[in-house]
Amino acid sequence: MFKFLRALILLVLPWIMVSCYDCGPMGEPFVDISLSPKNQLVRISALGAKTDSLFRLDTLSSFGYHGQLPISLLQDSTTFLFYFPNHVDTLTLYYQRVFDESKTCGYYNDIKAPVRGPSYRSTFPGVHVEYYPYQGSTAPGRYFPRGIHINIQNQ
Amino acid sequence: MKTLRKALWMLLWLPYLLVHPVHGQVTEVDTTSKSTHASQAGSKFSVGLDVFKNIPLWLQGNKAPIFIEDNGTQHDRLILEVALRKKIDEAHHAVALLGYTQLDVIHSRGTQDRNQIKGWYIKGGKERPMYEGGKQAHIGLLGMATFCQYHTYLRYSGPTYGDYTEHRLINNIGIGAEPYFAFDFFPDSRWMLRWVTRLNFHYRLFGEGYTPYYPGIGITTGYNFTMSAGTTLQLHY
Repeated sequence: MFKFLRALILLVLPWIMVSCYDCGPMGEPFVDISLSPKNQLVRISALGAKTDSLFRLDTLSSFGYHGQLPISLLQDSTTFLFYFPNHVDTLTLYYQRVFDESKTCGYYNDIKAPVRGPSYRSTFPGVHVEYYPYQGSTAPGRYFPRGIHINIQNQ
Repeated sequence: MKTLRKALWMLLWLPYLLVHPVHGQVTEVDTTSKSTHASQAGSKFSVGLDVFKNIPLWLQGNKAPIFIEDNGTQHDRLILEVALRKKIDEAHHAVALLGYTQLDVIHSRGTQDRNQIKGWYIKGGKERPMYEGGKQAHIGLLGMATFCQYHTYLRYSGPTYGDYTEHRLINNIGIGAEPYFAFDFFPDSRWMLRWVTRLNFHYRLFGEGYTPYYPGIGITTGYNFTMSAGTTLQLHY
């Protein structure tokens, strides 16, 4: 019995101790967007985007839309355009780009909350933005939020 | 004419030297030139030049992969290394190496596009015969100081808005130790061909980033502490 327990501990301990490290996007990051609009969304784009191919949100019947949208690495803000049948809403997201280097990841990029000023400007009435680092350790069985999460409530 | 004859002599010797390590035998080499051992083996001072390090990349058509890291390929590598060897007492020689290396590493994936590497190194130390009174096999230990510049071109891919590019100039400074084994051949009374096999231990004191190639060390995997090994030929006069 003790032998069995000892074997179990020897097997399980390394599994707990070994935590992986997530190095982040290594390129253009994506933000997580949830959107509950009044009208049907026609399409999404952003200022300065060369292609619209990555601007897609999944339709969720009860909540509205959800998905990941790319943000620009060329400046500290990205302005998204939400096209509805009769009007266009905008959301400008502010952030701080980090380009750095570490032993674990080599050269990487990360996104932080802006040092000063607002985190967003929008024509939507209710926007909630949360910043989490894109990079960090992960452990099996545990959830760590990553990246920027935007929740748009359009009542 | 005399130098030409010496060069031909060397060419005759080289294949033998290249075959010799393959067989893995370390035997008493030759009997024909034994009478000339004394003049070079017993000489007080000699200057050597590395004659091998540039050949492998040249044979591979100036393009060789670095198997570790992110599949970078080496281009335009040039290694210049001068060796100085001086007898200090009956058993020991002082050895000094001065080297310059330049290299381009082009990466096919990851955030690094290209690394332009330029580096200088100085190594100095002592060696002694492996066997008492031996003329051919030597073991030695060198200390080293290195300075190496990395021009790192970074590219963070941005398919939607455009790539973010950055150029960094990184100065790396490090120290290290190099135990080595040298086996000497004396094709001529004035010339000595030395086959050197080395181990490198290097610690970077200043700098950043992974260094897939570090001048004076070779291809490396570590971050600040790196280890490498190599074998080469030096021609001493």
